[in-house]
Amino acid sequence: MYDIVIENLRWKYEAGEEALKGVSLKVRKGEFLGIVGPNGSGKTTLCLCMTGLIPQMVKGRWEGRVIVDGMDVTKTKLRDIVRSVGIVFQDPEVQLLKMTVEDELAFPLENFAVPREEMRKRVEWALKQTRMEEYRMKHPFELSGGQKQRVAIASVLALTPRIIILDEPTSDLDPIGKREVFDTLHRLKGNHTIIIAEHETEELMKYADRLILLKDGKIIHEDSPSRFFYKIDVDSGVHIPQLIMLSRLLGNVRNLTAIRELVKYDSVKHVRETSPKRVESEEAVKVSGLKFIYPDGTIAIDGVNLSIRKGEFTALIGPNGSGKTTLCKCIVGLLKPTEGNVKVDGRIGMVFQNPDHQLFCKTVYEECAFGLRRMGLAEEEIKEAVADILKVVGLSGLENVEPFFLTKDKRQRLAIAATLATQPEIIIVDEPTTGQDVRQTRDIMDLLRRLNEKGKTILIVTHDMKVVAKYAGRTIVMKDGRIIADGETRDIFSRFDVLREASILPPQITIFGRKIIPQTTVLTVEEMYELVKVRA
Amino acid sequence: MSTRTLFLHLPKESPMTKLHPSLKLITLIIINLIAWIMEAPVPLLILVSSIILCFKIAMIPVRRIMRFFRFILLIVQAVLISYLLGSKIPGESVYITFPWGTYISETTLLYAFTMILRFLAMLFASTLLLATMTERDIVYGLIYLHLPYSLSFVVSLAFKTMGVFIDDFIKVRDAMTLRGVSFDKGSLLERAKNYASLGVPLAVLSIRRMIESSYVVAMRGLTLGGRRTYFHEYKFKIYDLLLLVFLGVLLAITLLLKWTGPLSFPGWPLRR
Repeated sequence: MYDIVIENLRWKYEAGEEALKGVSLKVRKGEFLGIVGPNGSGKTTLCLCMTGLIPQMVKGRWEGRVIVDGMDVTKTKLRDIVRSVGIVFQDPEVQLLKMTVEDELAFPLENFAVPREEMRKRVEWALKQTRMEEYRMKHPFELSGGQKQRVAIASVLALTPRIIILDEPTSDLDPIGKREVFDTLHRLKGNHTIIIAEHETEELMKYADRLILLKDGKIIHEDSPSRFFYKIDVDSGVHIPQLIMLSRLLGNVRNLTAIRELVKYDSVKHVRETSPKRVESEEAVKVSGLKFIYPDGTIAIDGVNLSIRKGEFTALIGPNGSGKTTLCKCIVGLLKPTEGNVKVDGRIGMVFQNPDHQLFCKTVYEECAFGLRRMGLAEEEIKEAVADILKVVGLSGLENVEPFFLTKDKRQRLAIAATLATQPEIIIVDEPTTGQDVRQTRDIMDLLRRLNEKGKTILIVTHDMKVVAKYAGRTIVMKDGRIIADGETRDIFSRFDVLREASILPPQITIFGRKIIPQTTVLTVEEMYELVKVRA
Repeated sequence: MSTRTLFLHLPKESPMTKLHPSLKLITLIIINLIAWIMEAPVPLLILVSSIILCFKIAMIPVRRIMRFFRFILLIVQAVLISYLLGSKIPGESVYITFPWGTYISETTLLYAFTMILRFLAMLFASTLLLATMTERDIVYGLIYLHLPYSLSFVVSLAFKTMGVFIDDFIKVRDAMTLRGVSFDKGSLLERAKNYASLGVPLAVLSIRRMIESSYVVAMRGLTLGGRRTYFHEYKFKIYDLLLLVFLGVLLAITLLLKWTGPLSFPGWPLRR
């Protein structure tokens, strides 16, 4: 009846706080269970407990019982558990161990001494299940993020486990990658018990049979997706799907056709715009005829002309490999253009996607002071500047903490602080919200907005269209090294054909808005609410 | 169509793609051994020329491995400097004597040239073979040589990790450059210090990845020493056998000629 039974599970890492505080959970055979919750709530820990990796490979204090496919994870060899449970991790790079897709899928089968003929059949089957047949001889580096995660899923599938656990498998992926992973899971639904920890609640809602909310190591709510998001707290740290948010604002109007009825075309004149607009000012960045070719011959940027005005908040969007990061690197001077030129008026700083690539000092204070010392400031001035910047990013009081002991969102904020400390006029932020929960995303984006309001020019590279819609006045769409659209965000999000060409899915509320008011482009839930609230 | 090797894309028609994986490893070992045994400049020159010719036969896109040649050039410079400044090889005429007691004679020059040829033979042969090997070649090559699977797994993982490490290195260096760290300017000590500071984030990233990789390996069911099967099967073909015989004969002749004298370095009997 149940594939997984967890009874009063408590887990404390050897050098850390108690991560799970009495979790009890039963997962039915063939169920698709979604685990949501803010970062640090214990999602990953729970996933690792269900695989036996905790407590068998991680040190800590364990209480309670976890039975997986009839096996007690504390008493059964990991190798035996693996036959029943497979796990897909967040980082696609780390979990691919071999140099071709085919070898990756064969690897776990070889480890279990599966005969060659049987192995061939299973590899074929797993490739087919994940629609990766044509990529069998590809090197992992040649695959997109979504394809890599599909390979990781296929590799798990090859062992034909009853249970598949996925720990935030789409966090590092672009919109196409996310869709590929969820499509694959949709195909597997019913034949396997699927448990997925995920921030993408809109996708999760479509597929999950049940959702649980984990907070501070405890399950605080569980329900079917149709009821779940109506019952959880708005400030629970979980993204509430936009249409449900709208429905909740309207007093729990659950029937979307009822919302449609609330809007009469003739009564809608204008959307009360809550998102920022473009600004007209002097040029901060001027890119002319930019072309960049990597030494292996890959044309990353192919004739880009671009002008960014001072004080603009711009979003650079597009699928992976479209040239966004390369363009940013050319702007900050890390890459020398093959052709064309870049002119920048003012000091420029860049925050990288992974804060761990950027932090190298012993303390939080030293991290912020580093750039200021290079500028030759006196120690008193540095002290003052660091105190100011740490206050801005909400890290005051952590001056003496080692950066690598901070949580990921705090490391991300520290990376921003370290960049901001040198007072750049132009700030480029690459994927500021990847892997962040809804509250952390809001904190980081609000910080960037405040800086923008103080006159800083902001350019963000992101796959999160909700963030683009809410914060960016201007949006640039890239594909195959070229700019295919550039304009006010509202205008860009009204051009569904362009977005489709760049494989970008606009926010749920924008799609819904287009359906009920075709002549208007709605960017945020607040805008939609303004349109319908009077009649509601 | 092409095959992706450890460093480049190799055309499918390249004869190197058809060789048995273990033979590629054996060739790598034997050529290096022959180069190490030889001390005469002319045979070494012939060996180097033959290896260069093999690049053409193997259809290696030389443009893609230019960075290796830059590295080779650095080694050549180091070898040359060490012999010119730090050796005492007697000759008919001594051109320069250094205050620390070493000197340069015409034999020094010839010997330095010979040693450069030896290094070139070794480095070119290694580049040739590594550039044409896939991760699968290494794994199966070692397996067919009856070495434990754990060794071939570690070696293949090291190659995979190297790519990720280089990627991390570039990103960390870029991030530091943007915060005002210069890796090309300043005194040697300053630059060394800057490079050393790269170590902190790289170490943290590596440890994190290592922990995650160990979870992945465990969840793929790998145990050391347990019974396992293999997805691919390689058979020793006639051309593999011919090449093996050729290499064996070449090694035997080299040993014989070295023992009898023709492959020893002329004019410096004092060394042995």
